Amino acid sequence: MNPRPRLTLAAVTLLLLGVTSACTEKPPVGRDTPIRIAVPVIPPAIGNPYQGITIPSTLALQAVFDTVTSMDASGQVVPALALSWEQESPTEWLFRLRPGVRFSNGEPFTAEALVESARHMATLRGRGETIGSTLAQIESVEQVDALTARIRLSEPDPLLPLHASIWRIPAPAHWRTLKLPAGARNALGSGPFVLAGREEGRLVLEANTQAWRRPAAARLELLMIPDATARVQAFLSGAVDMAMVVSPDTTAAVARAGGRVVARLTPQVDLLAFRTERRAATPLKDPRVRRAMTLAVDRALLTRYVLGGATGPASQLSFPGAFGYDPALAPLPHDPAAARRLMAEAGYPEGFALTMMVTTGEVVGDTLYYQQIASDLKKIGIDVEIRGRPPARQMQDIFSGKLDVDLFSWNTRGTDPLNDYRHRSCLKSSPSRQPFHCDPVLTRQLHAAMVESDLGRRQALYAAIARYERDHPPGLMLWQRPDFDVVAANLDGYAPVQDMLHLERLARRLP
Amino acid sequence: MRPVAQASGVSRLWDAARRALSVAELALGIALFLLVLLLALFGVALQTHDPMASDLMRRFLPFGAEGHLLGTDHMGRDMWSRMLAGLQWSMACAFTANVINLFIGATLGLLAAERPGWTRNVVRQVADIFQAFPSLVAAIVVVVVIGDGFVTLVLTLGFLSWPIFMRVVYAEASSLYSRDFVKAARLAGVSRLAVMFGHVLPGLRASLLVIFALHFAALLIAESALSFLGIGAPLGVPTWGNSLAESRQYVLVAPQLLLVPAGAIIFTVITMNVLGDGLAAYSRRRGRGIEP
Amino acid sequence: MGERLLRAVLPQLGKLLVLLFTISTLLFFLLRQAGDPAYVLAGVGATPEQLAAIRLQYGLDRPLFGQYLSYLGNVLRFDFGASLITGDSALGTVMQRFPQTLQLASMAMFLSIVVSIPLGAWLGARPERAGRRLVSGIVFVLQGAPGFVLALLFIQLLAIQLMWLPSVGYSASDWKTWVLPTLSLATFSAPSLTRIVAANVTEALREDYIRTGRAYGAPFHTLLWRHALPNALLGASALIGVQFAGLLSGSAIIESIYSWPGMGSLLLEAVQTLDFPVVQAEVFVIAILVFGVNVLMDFTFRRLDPRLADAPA
Repeated sequence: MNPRPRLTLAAVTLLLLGVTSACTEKPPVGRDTPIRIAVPVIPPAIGNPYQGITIPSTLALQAVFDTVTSMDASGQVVPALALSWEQESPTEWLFRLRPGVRFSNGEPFTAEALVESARHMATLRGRGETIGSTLAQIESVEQVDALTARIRLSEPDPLLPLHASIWRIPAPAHWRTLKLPAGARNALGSGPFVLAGREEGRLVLEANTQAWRRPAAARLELLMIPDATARVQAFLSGAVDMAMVVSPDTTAAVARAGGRVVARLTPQVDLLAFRTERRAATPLKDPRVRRAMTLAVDRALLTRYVLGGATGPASQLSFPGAFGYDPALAPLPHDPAAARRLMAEAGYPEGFALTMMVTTGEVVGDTLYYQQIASDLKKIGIDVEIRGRPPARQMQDIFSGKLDVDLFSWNTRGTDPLNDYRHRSCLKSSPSRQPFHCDPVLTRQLHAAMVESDLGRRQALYAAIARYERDHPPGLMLWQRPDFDVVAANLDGYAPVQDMLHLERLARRLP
Repeated sequence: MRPVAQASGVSRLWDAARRALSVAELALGIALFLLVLLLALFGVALQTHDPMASDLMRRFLPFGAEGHLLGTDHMGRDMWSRMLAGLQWSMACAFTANVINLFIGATLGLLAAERPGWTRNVVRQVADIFQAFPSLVAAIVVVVVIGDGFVTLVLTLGFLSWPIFMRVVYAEASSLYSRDFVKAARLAGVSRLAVMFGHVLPGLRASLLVIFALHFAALLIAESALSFLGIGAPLGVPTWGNSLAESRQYVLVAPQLLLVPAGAIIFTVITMNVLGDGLAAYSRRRGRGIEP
Repeated sequence: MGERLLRAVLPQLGKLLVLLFTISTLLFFLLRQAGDPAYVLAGVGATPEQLAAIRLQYGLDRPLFGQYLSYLGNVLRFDFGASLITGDSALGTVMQRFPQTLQLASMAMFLSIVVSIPLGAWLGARPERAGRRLVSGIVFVLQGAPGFVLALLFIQLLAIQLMWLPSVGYSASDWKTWVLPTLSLATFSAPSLTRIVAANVTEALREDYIRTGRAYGAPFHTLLWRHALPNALLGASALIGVQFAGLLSGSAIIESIYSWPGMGSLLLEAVQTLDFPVVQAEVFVIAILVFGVNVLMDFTFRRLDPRLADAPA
């Protein structure tokens, strides 16, 4: 060997040694060390209080904004910005507000904030946003006095306090100065944190020490890591303290690194919605076929072996803790023989072919169970072609009528199942929506429930709908969706309640 | 390159060694390729299990466990059988896309070589434009926008990289058209098509084979890359790219799942590269022998 | 000089314009095929009245060809409109991601040059030796391996097992977050660069002037490093240009693996959410970038190699 390559080799070795020694130094953990959370997505428009309902995409919004009401673990409505409420008439509610609350820019919180918020939600742009469209029944708000607001509705809503748990309130005077739509993300709230920094793929939240929800941590950092495995790897390599939405299969690996994988039941039921209105003669029109498909799929096996036993087969498109849930209703069992009998009765002993559109990458392992469901359906003669789509794309396909498939993955959202009934029946709040399932009996029941302003009677109607839908399924009901989060052993205060993760409670235990 | 006649003794020896090496490389390439081809055609017979049959009670089995040669994947499906099934899908995808590339590229290249006027200029400009644009970016946009499906994937890959074929065909065909035997044929009144297919195309065989082999490897990687990004072959189709993308989700639980499709892709890509390099070296050597 | 430069650049500029016109046109009609931007703008809960209002506001109710003409007019002024998702300027969104992609591509290119040239020279100097054959074999295998597989292995080894480096994320101030993405992206370009340098060095060492040098007793390594390598690099520099253009435009996979906020990951996001203006702006920028790199390399190449200086473009 001649001397030059040898020199180069020596130099490279030295350099590598230097790099590794520099890499192995870890900074000490102190009180001000931020709690770092890996999330699958930080929406580009994050900061706009009117966009997004589910976690993890709204995690930062929950930290920055307060909602009008909130919910406890049992599904009961509890005070938040509003302390109490009463129904004055079927379409009028009086909300009494929390005194002494200030927005992070010093603006005091009064009924004016609700007035301004309702005004925005009623605009064209506001109705297009998720919160404005979900709370479409709110017509306007009137300020009775500084801490009392009267909410006027366009249709009776006995569940308004429940629905108001997604209603986030920005500082009104500041909001009026923002240039919409892009400026909406700079809105200010009264929550336990303020948005202190925004880089590509990273959000920095700093404690708002004046907040009534007092934050335990001084700083939070949200890091966007779209891939689930990469989020766990980030935890294993010490880059984050928490990782939202991971695969339950990683439990052992996470435990070895001193963390735990926790199941968090979301207020959503996953289903594969049937499109019974797509073709005139689709076999899916026959409820026996739809029941047979449900009987054919071994949902218990999937929940036990793939979802870590965190959930079980759904009996209705609702879940324990939700309004109108019927605990007495049993899910359809796994019974391929009965399924085949029903198929023969319906006139399809040889089966048929279907296309199914599923969103992939939203839930960890989703590609797995869609393939498993397809293989279960194949056993009763139904050939399913699976097409995968990113979640954002599928929503547009559904609402623009471009969804040219028989089945598609869907989920019911929120604690009031009726929110979702509107989407999957002929009883739609918006005629532009493609009806994907029209059952005249169900439509009558739905309409009756919707206009019922007595809570008790409304609950009974919900239960009747659940019973009817189990035997005339609008979709292949799967399960209440569990998400799995990685939490470091030295992190306290992780206690999610449905779609709410109280970030103000998170604290690092110092050694 | 220096004329062989002037070479010294050492260099002559060196040339002989190189010749032997190039023949050996070609032989190795052909042998490996035949192996891959046989597995693709008759691999079904070697499958020990139904590649689509899942068993959720037997997920992530290690190599050799319970009669599963390469273990099982995240759904308890047999990895060995899936690898063989994937070979068919991935080869079919790369092969079809490559044939489309070859067809478009060769047609346009021949056309450009035969008509040196504005046809040539237009074809070369179009090829320039296609080549100037990064094909991965184009593939991402087209596949996502047009929609998923195996056919879209194959067509997209097939329509994006033909300029490589066009350039080579054009360069070689142009030189053939200027050769005496082609000129003579044209003067003798042989029809244009007959000249094209009878005299020019056979002369391009060697180079076309070389690019076909090398580009095949590139397409195989492109397929796996698109699947990896989640925009490749539809779910449930056991292409190697899909297996790789799914295995990635379980790399912490069962890293061996990554090795099987990755190893298969690397092996096939190397096979095609060895074959292509071998063919190129061989035809160069033969070409030099013919030339005065 | 100036006139010659102009003569070299002008036809290239013409080509660029044709390229940009073609892709803008294709993209416009392709994206319209995919979906109605009004649905993206109006949001999930829109009523028909809201949709109609949005169509009117954005001119989506006009005939398609009219929309196309005004789109072309805007493109000429580098105005791609606002992102449908954030409302920010589409071009601004892309340019915000550009520095990270440029940084990653430059680091990866630098790394692969620094590794490939000495390695290639070493391999090419005595290709017949057993040790170098082994290394050549490894380089050959690496060339065949899809780059993302290596990236996954790097993460598993360097970030998870050894915990030396963060597995993911980007920070402008923390160089440790740069290491793995750079290393992974470099594996896309380094193997082929090494192989071409090695082949060129072998070829150059067999040239007459080297033989003459040897006959006069010049030391082998002087001939190799001072004479054969520079000549070999001339041939490799064309490949470096192609590779740099490839790294700039093709880093989507590595960017998505490491959550690197560059243009590649932006393209994936924008395409999947049907954010038309961002997709259009991004494709436009990439086309100009790749073209610019090619022209630049072509020019440099000509300056380096006097034989090509007077050849027509």
